[in-house]
Amino acid sequence: MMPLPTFRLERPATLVEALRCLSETPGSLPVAGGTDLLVSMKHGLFDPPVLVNLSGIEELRRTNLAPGNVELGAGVRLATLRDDPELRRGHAALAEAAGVVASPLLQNMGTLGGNLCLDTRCRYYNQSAFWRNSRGYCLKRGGTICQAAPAAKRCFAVSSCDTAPALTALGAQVRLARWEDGALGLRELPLEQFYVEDGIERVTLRPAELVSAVLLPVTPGTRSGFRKYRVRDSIDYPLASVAAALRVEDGVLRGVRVAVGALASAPLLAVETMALLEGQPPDPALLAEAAELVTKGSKPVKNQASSPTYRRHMARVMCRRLLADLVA
Amino acid sequence: MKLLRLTVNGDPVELGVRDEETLLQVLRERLGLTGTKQGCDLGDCGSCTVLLDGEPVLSCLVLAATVEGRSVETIEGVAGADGLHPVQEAFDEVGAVQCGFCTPGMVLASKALLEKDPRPSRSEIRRALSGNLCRCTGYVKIVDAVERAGKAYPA
Amino acid sequence: MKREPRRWVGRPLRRLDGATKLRGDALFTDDLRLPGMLVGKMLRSPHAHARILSIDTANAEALAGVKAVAVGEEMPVRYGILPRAEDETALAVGKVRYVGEPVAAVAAIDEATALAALDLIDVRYDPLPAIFDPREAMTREDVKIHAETKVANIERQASLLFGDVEGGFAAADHVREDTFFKAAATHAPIETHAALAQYSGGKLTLWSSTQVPHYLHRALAKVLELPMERIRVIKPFLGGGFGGKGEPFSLEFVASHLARKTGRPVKIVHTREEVFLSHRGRHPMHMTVKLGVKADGTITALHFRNILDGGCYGSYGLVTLYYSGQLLTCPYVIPAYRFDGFRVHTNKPPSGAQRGHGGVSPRYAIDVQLDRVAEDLGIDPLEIRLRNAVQPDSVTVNDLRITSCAFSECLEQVGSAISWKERRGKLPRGRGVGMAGGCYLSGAGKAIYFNPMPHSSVRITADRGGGVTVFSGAADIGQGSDTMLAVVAAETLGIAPSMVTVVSADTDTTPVDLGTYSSRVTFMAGNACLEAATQLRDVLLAAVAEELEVHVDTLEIRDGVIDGPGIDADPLTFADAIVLAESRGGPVNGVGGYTPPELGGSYRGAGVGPSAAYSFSAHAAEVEVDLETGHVEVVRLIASHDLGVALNPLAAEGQVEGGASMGLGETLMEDYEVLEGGQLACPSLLEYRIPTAVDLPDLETILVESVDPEGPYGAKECGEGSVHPTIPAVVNAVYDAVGVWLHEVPISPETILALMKKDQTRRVAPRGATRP
Ligand SMILES: Cc1cc2nc3c(=O)[nH]c(=O)nc-3n(C[C@H](O)[C@H](O)[C@H](O)COP(=O)(O)OP(=O)(O)OC[C@H]3O[C@@H](n4cnc5c(N)ncnc54)[C@H](O)[C@@H]3O)c2cc1C
Ligand code: SF4
Ligand code: FES
Ligand code: FES
Repeated sequence: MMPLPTFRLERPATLVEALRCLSETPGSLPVAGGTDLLVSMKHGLFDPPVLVNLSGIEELRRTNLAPGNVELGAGVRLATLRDDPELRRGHAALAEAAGVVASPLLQNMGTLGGNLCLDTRCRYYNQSAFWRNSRGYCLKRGGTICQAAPAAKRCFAVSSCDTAPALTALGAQVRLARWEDGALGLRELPLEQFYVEDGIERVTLRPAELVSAVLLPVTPGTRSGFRKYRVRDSIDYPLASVAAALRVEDGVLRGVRVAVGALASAPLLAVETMALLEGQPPDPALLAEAAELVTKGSKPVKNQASSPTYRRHMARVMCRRLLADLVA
Repeated sequence: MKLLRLTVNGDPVELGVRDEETLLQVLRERLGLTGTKQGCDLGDCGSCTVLLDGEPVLSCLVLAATVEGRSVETIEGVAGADGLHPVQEAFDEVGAVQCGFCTPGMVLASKALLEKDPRPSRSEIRRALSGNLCRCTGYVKIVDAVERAGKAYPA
Repeated sequence: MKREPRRWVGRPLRRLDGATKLRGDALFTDDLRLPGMLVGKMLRSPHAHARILSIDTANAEALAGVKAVAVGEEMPVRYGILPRAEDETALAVGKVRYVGEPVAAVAAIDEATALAALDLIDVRYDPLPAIFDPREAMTREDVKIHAETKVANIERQASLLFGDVEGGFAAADHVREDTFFKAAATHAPIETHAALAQYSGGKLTLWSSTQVPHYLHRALAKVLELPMERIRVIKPFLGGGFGGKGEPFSLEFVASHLARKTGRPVKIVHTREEVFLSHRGRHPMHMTVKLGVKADGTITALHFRNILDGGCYGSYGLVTLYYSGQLLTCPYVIPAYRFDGFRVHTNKPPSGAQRGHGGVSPRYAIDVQLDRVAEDLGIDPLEIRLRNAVQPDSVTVNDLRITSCAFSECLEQVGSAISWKERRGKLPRGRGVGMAGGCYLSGAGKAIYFNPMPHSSVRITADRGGGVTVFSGAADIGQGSDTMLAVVAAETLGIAPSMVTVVSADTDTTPVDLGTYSSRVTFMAGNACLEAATQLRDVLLAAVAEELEVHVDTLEIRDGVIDGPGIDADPLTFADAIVLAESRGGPVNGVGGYTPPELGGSYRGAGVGPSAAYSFSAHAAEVEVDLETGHVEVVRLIASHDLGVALNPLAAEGQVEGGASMGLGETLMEDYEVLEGGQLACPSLLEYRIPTAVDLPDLETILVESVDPEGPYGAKECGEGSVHPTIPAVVNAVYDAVGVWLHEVPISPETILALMKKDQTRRVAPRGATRP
């Protein structure tokens, strides 16, 4: 087996209790479904003194699908998002993304919050301690160079969570909670501001802060969808992904939001694609032209299967097809 | 160390577990339920699949201490005293078992699927089992078996 | 040929062990537990090539809970599956040759302690330059991975020449030469390797996930310097092998050694990463094919050159090298043939034998080249195959004896199943069909070490209740050989398979079978079982004949009842017959053995390739290629297989489906890549992608029966040959779909896109015959 390092497990029943546990021991980490963190711990990437289990916290599993304002608890399982008929209708991109994370078994375990906070990934990083010791360590963990791009001063590990680009396209906000001076502190951020395009920093979470919920705007008439490229049609992480949301109003495109995943250290909003389409009629040639712009601003390095060039190509093809489907 | 109470295959179980122990370790090493297999210990293969409150999960990525109060079904709990479960029966009949290492996980994932939907299409079956790797069969006979087993369920 | 109707042979039958496995009761090696058992773990080299300067184990030994530490010097005797390539030690001695090579080991009270102890072992290395490309290794005299190799790192060169090759090319109307590359693949059984050793009373018992208990038995005796009678090897239930458990492995010696050292049972279970490091999978092959044909497609000559990347140890490599050349003279008639091959050492985990051993990658090259030649000449690919198809009762140019053979029928069957005539070359762009053939041996004609004994022996005993027990050394690794033995015994004895118990793969209690490799078990153990069961039947019927005072030839056993003159009134059961026979002189049993006939030529290398029977196969694939992404979806795969007779069609179909699915994995996604530096690019089941249930079509199997004259009830191989045609069938289908030839496998969508682009720019040039 690949035994876990030792730690103390806390099993709080409320969010406040969880936040207090986290703030009490520096270096402690939250664990939700465990499908990312436990793998990394078995690989020796993390050795926290305390793990705070979030799965017993009822309030994190709440969802509120009230019209006009959808609120999803961070503890909601991906399988729930995948199967929810309301979501499939109003926020298809999210349901579709949840349904292609890993495999159905992992969707039964993984949570929305865990998915959003998924560590960035790299072939030189997501390996056993033995492997990394043999290869040499890298910037992200224990070393001084990037194994994938030795000349670079930064880490290019890939944002590989599937729900993040979907939620970015849907214009979602995250609600963050922390325990501050004896009181619960909450803040809300658009998802674009939650992520940092850096393989190491990756999210703007403060120490002992948790994602407690995701807030989704509801705009009637919005259609959205998600496309993912991977080698196998199950289990595999994305090598590229695209999410888009839009409305067709009076024959023109409105509220266009497009995001790409797995091509950088954060999901990227495809602003040029969006700008080109906004207010225009959904003409196939224009959609194609806009799709060509979707990978502007992403410069992946070779740290995954498949070449960076091909992954970007796939994003453009998927984008054009997705847009065409959404306006059909 | 945590005192853990749970139900395993219908029986109440109470034992002390280390905080870092996985459900897979507890089942195999403490409870002697070696029918649950370990093929990677990293969530990649599906051999360690068990049902947690009826849902298939990978026991190698579940911390044992987090299943307090819950109900776990392993392959040892599937057959009744009077014989194999319809899913097992169908696997046996159509030749869906070769080496048998993926089999416990496959059976449990199939059972969970059929309990929700006894008449899945072949592609739905393939999707539901797509987290369980089998290197022996090419999956054809496994899909056949699940299709056949579904007929034993009330529609 | 039609086969005789049989009672059990040919009926779809449940496995003997199906219910046990389905209930979760089947005990695999890792499921075994013994009192006082320790956990063993191995320390592995972080270097691809280095001298070991020193190993300090003092701190590890001092750790509480550690019971023993072992290093290479304690077991310096070399072993290897081939007596001619015994170049490994249980733990590295003096030098390491790949990242992951075991260097030291510990036995401790639990896993955590064992792992902590590994961290305390201090190994000093002096790194050496490492080589990862066999073409470079062939000429690098300055870097010697093994001091013994004469020329650079060439372990072995093989040259074969049959017929007038130069004349053949001269007589050809069209000659085409191309290069092909097939990447390494690995077995990836879902069960990881495991070994449990117990040493008590001066005797070692080893439970191990091995395909070759007998060879392991011999190797243990040699390395541990213990006589064979003080060693018992048992193979418990085994979770898939495909060749990956087909030779002795470090963990088996180390667990045994540690058990002897500590006096306590020691279990070692490989992590998934360790399985990838142990490897012995498919050799990467750099191949050049020169094929000459007449204008009508008849092959006149073939020259095949192959560079095999052997990794750093011998393993089965010499056999792989020869197989890669020897098996190409079939299933197409090659009148003149030349082979030049090299097996070369590199600083990678050793390549070895994987399902379809030796022939899979060359088959890809040949069957694609055949399509290319057909295309050049404007001949239909099915037509060119039928024209050159090998026929029954013939001899190949390299002296392989072909007896039963339904290759043409295999081709025709898949052709009609996929509507070849109506669809090849006629589907819309992006959609295509392709086809390929193959053949494989039913067991190697020679044992791995020379000996005059049968390759497989079986003993059958009968108990007074009417049951029989088959004792066989054959290792059921999931393919179902135990059930096969029960079918053969039941058919022969006239009883139901449910009356048969099979005890197998235990060197103390079962007679020797050489092991589960080279598709030999059904043919050899099946024949041995047939002989043993026949002998038992004869003993029983003789007793009945004597009792009833009738001639023995008038009696037979049918459905557990003795039938014949004089027993109409009171049925005489099988059990009664046993009682009668036993009363005459003690317990009754039957023994049987199988030794393949002396076959093959007398040239160097002639020992690899001959077999008592060959299976034949043809696959037809239909693909959908996404014109914008290059993604290939295999929509249909139809696999026909001439297996002589299907003893149990369920099991046979399962073998063909499993083989074809491995072939599809290798075509589309599997690449056992080693990074510059020696680390595996894909050391997990996440990154080394074997197909999931959603990545494969519903494979369609057509069993073709040719009734082999020497196989048990006419049966021959079906588990490995079924991998052979898959890759070229798909590659040829991709050509039909989008007009590009793929000379590298696994195929990549990116390459397909690039080739399509290139193709479009030079489409103006006419396609047609070229004569280089
Ligand atoms: C084989 C395999 C394949 C996979 N494939 C994919 C894939 O294709 N796409 C994909 O997106 N993911 C994939 N995953 C990763 C993972 O399963 C999912 O991302 C899952 O959603 C993670 O959720 P979790 O609840 O299990 O996270 P956990 O592992 O519990 O946590 C992940 C990270 O988030 C932190 N965290 C968890 N909850 C919170 C919170 N509320 N607030 C702040 N921080 C939190 C944890 O500390 C940890 O750092 C795969 C995993 C495996 C094992
Ligand atoms: S991108 Fe570079 S620094 Fe980041 S994880 Fe990979 S190797 Fe390390
Ligand atoms: S052992 Fe749990 S998924 Fe492989
Ligand atoms: S039957 Fe062997 S892995 Fe599925």
